Amino acid sequence: MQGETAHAQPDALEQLIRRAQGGDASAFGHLYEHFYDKIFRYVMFKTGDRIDAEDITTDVFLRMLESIGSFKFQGYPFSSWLFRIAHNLIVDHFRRKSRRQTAPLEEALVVAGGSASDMDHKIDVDLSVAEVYEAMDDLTDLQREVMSLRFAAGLSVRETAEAVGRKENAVKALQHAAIKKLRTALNVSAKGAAEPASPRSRNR
Amino acid sequence: MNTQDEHLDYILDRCIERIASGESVSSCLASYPDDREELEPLLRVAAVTVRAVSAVEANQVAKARGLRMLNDAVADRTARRRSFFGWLTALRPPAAGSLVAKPLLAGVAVLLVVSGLAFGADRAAADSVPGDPLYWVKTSRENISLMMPKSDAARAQEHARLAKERSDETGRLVRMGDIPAAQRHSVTISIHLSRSAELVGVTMSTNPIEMPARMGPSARENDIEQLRLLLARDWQATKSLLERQISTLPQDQQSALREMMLRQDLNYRFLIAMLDMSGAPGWPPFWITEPPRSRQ
Repeated sequence: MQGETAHAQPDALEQLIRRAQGGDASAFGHLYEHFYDKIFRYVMFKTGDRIDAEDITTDVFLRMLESIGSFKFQGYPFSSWLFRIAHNLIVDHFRRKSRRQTAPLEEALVVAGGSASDMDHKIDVDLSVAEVYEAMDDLTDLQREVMSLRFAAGLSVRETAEAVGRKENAVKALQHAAIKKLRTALNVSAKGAAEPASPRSRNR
Repeated sequence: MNTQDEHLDYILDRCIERIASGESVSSCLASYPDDREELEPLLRVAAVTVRAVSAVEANQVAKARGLRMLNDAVADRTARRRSFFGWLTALRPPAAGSLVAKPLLAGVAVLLVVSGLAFGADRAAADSVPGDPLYWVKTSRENISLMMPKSDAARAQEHARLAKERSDETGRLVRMGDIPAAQRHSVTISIHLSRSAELVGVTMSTNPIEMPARMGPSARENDIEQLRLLLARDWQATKSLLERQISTLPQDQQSALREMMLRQDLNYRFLIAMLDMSGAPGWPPFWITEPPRSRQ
């Protein structure tokens, strides 16, 4: 969750972007490798459908190819720009669909149980992505967006702030409020006893 | 918001970063003993969320397929650039944004278009579509025209005209049977429509996250009305053409074209409705109008 700098030095990333802007095919491949998993997780978290998420993620990079020439290095992180594209494509996706997919999340999403006995791990395996995903229904659009960018995409606070057009302090406050709401929805107590959230329809 | 809230926002964020990088909730709590009571339940939720989300893994086959598509698209784009006036592309610097490069390219573009006019290339380019060698001539002429000084209202009408031109090209691509190219190209229609709207003070978005805090220039009612009429006429003509084309396509291509048409229909109708409502009480209805933020 350290943002762009976690996996590549900013200078190296900037070089890569500039090479891509110049039409260097291999640079596009590197950018794809660098951002694919983050974008996929973010889209998956927002759509709840693996096939849709794969298609949208591919479209994000095709759109990046079309528009990368317009990206300017003026203090706006490239990742925020890229996630803005992803967000717009997700909005288009939901516009096209009259309602959200209600099929259950795939079994691949469910957190596998483990043998570790520490309390942290116990709570974690009690809940699945599907439950977290459903609990997100209680959040406002902006809180959900912040949580998706911070947790699923792994963006830093600054990148998230740029992507949603808010200040960093506002993002931290939104994150705090979202976690409080999730706590209620997930029914996680202070000592870690977590009860599965009751299934609810997803109609975002 | 009080100082205590800000303090908790801050340490919660620090702990989330630590948990995301593998630390346990307990070790984070140990760093903030005074805030333990309030912090603990929040960190438990954060840990659950981090763990749940990190369980989502991309399918490697889909990832490889996406990379192939991207590589194909890059190769396709490179081939198109080199297919005509390749030497001009070679002049382009990596970022194409230097103070020297832009006037140079603009100058070369002007020369080319003037030469093209002399040899009739411009006329031949009029019916070209993306992928044709002469398409470059056509778009260069459009870009030069957009660079000429003129009022925002005139510029808005020019973008509306270009949206119509892109629609016609999309129709030609459909006739050629290249539905994927038509779908890709139809995105440019939305770009011209959005630009046209911005120039008369309308931001085409229902979502403040998607397009936050953009204020357009003010426009006179007459300009808005002219643009509205132009868009309504153009869309009616384009829609009729696309509807006729749908019936001539194989079944599997019909749905793709219908979807594309619906999307454009939505874009045009939304913009026309926004122009209709411009100046009405409660305007603007859809977006946040904050002053632009300065970038650091």
